[in-house]
Amino acid sequence: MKSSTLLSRPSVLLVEDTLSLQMVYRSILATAGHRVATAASAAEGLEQFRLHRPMVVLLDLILPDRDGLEVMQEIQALQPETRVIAITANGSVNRAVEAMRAGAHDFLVKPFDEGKFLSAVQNALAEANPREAPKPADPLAPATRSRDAGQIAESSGFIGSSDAMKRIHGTIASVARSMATVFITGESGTGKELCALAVHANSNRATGPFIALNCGAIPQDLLESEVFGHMKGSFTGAISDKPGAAAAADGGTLFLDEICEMAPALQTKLLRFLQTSTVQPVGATRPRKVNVRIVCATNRDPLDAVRRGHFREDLYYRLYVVPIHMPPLRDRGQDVIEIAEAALARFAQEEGRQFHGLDPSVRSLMQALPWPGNVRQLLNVMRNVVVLNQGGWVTPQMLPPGLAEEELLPEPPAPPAPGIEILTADSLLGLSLAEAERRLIEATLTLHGGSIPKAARVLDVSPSTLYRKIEAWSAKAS
Amino acid sequence: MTLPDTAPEDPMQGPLQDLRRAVQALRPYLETADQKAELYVIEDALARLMAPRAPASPLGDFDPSRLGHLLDITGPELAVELLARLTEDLIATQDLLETGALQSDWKRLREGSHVLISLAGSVGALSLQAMSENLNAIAHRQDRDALDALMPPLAGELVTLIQLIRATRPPFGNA
Repeated sequence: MKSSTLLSRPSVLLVEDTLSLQMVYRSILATAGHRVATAASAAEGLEQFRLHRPMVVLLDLILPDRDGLEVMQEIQALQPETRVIAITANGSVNRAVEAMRAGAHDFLVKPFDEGKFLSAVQNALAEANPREAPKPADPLAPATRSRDAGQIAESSGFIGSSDAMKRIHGTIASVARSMATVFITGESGTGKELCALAVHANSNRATGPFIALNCGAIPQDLLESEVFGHMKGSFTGAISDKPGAAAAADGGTLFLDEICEMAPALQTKLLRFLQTSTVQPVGATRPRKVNVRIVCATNRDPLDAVRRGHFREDLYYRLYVVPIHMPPLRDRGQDVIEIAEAALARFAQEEGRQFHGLDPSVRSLMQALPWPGNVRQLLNVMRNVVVLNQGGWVTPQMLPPGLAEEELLPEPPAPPAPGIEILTADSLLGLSLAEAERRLIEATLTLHGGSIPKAARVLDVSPSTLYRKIEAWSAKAS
Repeated sequence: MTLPDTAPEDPMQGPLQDLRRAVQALRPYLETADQKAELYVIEDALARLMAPRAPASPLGDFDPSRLGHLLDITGPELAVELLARLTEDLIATQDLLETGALQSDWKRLREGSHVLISLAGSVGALSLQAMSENLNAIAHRQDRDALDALMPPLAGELVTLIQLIRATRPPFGNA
């Protein structure tokens, strides 16, 4: 191919059957300096694609002659590295979600503003052509190679060969290279952050930063500054410029843990960030464009949070593109033994002890336990065993006291023990809201033997919210 | 084909009646099947044009800056073409929705509402966009009662929007 042909080859194909909109989109792209080919039907779109082989395709999912999803799959089969941006109308967002699950790079919901439109195209071009990317990935980095679920399993840090985990490795393998937002759900201690790291490590942006932010652990009034940054002097205590997590994650992945704990005002700003790919630090006069992939997680049911009005529905649909549910340990069969043995070997090496393995009775017990704290609880148990015992086979007597008896019991809300104050609505009257909240939390903790995870489940907040509040009370008291 | 009676107060109806008479006068001279098929297409288009349309109703929520911005994006040399294409797209959508509603054709209603959401939103007809989103949901759940309640106000605003786009003159007097 001659260089002149290469220079004139369109980098973007726009497939849109509403001609007035096609005209507007083409004008926006051309004004921004993109070479554009256009098509008004699926057949014409595929013909143009075969002719020009563009790196980015803007594809309306509802076309007069064929389903847009089928067209996308044909394009991906012809040239897998093409980035397809699915276009749909507000009201048909489920189609966009289907497209993302089928491998679309990004999606746009019509009507959209030109900033959002150009941002999606520029990000897709940067991903498709690393020379144009803000932070190019190392071509020799593992992330740039095609990897299967087995390789993901080896590298992700997840231990366990259960069917549930195999499915998760498969999902990570298929979604890692797209820009699709990943929404990880699961109980506390199931490995949501490890999962987010695996998505990042297997993506094209693995050489970029991975920034994790726990939305439940940061006071709400500081969260905006933590996410979007601030300028020096923009508020009391802002003694220097701070870039914020979104800017720090430029070229990489931003992991927002406990996303359902985010305050409504900040949810609005996050939505705007997702739509425009720009951040505006507190006190800044101009927004800054960033290239960030979002992975988020919660231990709540996000749809329930939407129904209760705690979480914006539009943000939910924007984020809940590729869901990954981390199964609780009790549903992972033999994985509990594999994890316990791996942890035993690692901790024994760290502590300089010699352990032979798990006694058969311990294996049976571990498989029968409900593990409400999941992998995190199991690791704590194994650390406890290694630290408090010299070595040999791990027997039931070496396990932390009460583990076998208490954990096998169901979790009924126990009646208050003698001497425990019964909290009634009347007893809260006259107190400040903060004091009433504290009394309720303390009473719930007492009722559940001081177990923060159990109290958090009853109160329908995340455990870290309770840890944060307790820390704040301690700090105030001291 | 029987064409509907006309509404005397509609200024379009006079010329349309003349056209219908001319078309009918042609019929005896047409011999081949192809010629008759062509005539049928014209009669069909006439029937649609003469059918009583929903009365225009004011646009509930209109942001004129959006249409102005679209014209800025394409530039003065293409503004006339953009307005013409917007009009064509809106009329095609109007036909799709009217036929879909008449025949309870939910697929047409889904397609038409999908396009209208984008068009109405792009030109700033925000209440029409909201109604189109509602129509899209109704078409998905195939709710005839809700469709009957929604179509008159939606069709009325759509007529007004088409009139507004037709009456819009591009910047710099290029019309």
